[in-house]
Amino acid sequence: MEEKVEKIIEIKELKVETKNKVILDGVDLNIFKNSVNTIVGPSGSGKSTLLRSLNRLLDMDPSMDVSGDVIFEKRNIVDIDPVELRREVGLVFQKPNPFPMSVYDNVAFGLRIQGKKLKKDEMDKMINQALEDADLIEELGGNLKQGGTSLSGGQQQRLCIARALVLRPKVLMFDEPTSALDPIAKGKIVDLIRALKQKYTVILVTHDMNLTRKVSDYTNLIYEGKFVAKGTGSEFFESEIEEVRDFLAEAD
Amino acid sequence: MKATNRIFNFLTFLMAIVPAVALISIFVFVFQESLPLWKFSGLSFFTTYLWNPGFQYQQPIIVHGILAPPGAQFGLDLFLLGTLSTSALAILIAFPISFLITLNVELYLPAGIKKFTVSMIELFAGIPSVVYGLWGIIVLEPILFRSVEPWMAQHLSFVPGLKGEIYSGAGLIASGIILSFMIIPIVTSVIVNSFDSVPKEVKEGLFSLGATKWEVGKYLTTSYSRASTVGGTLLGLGRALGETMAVLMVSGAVTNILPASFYSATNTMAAAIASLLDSALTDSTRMNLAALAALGVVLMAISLTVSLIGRKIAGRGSLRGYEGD
Repeated sequence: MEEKVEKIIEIKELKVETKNKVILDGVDLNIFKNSVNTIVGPSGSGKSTLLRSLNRLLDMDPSMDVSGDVIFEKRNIVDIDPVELRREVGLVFQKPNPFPMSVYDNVAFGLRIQGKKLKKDEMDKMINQALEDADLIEELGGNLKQGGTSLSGGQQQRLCIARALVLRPKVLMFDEPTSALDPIAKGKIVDLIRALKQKYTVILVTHDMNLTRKVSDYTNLIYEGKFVAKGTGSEFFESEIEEVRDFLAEAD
Repeated sequence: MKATNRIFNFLTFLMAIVPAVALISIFVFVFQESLPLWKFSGLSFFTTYLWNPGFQYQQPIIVHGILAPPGAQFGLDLFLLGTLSTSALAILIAFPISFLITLNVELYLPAGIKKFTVSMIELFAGIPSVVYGLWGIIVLEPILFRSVEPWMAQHLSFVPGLKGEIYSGAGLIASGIILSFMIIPIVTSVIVNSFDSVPKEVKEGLFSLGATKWEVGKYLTTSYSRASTVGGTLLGLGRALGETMAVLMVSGAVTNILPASFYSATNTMAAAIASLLDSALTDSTRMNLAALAALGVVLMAISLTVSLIGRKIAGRGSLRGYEGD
């Protein structure tokens, strides 16, 4: 099966360390196009660090030492301007982090700092589309002037997804997107992730095995900075690998 | 046991009200001391820049029922102008520098160096102002006099106020620079603290939407940290308004001559009080003392107001609106 699906990101020998700790110990991983690629693992295993190295957010932290290669669409990410890379590889965070401005301005933010001069109706169209793709437009009842921070937690999270979508990324990364949400809001994100993979490649970091069961196409377990299991969704849950059994036992 | 408890309660109560009582009584005392001046000068205190102690060894005269040395005349305009202009210049210099230091410290420097840099900047606040003044006289004034001001007069003379004769290096520019050194630590530490309190998710969120470091800094300053930035700057301004010794040393401490340009000598209310006090004490009518007290009242009113506004704004939650509030 892996042969048929196109790889969009190849991670090779990626090593991330600080002065006194190795966070990622030379990992290899392929991210497949139009699929949900899930990375699971206990807290502190390096999941979030991995995401932040894929869009070079780690560059912001001078104490992190990164080596190895990440190839995004045949290009090494160190050769891509980080600002451009971050627009192509969007990131949605665990805690919804809308900016204290209107829904419209939140979504428009990324477009505006691109410095592109968009016509008002063009901008409106893109923003509406993004909010629709994030399954938020109906709930807002067309009122895009309300404050982004006055929405419910689940709506805020989908607003943040819309904010990333409007930049038309190729890859959308989610860092524990449901852990701060109630069950109903969680359900909506699950549906949304399923829908999003038609257009985008999704990388999902989570320790929620329920979520993983529901959406994951490729599930990979990371443990103390190393992948101990890589596989498709169902294979993963059947795996005989000791760490996988331990992790599943603990997660359930 | 009960008795000691009562004593303790009383002592803590006393300690709690001492600051308020002290503040009010200082104000009342200074104001009371200034009363004869208000009767003598009235509103003309605000409308003239001339300041003459009068002939203290001649027979005092009576004006508006108050004894004063003949020829005495008191107006605060020159000092007020000096105070406001030196402080404004100090803020103009200090704010961009503090802002750039903050950006650098927050977004470019590694965590270890950041701590070191911030504590170094804060140490600057501990340098006695007389040392700043000394440095100003020995180092800064000659540089201004020989190189900087002649260059400015030659190349920037199209800017109003920058055309004119160079005097000695002492004056508005030197005072503004020295004051800016003294308030940079205050302004910087307030802005740095407020940047630190911005949730990590917000900073990462901005970066992951493709914002550059500069855009992140600009955005944080104008939204999340706006209140602290304004508040910190006003706190710095409050300090600059009241600074005495360093300004006295580098301002030229002029009286009765309005500045002709930015190169002219100046004087501030605080510096004037310090430098004129000695002779005021020899005035048997106490009118000179009352005039200095009046300067003190005005200065206190201005800097207290600025500090209060600054404190209020700086203390206001700059994260309001974050997380569903």
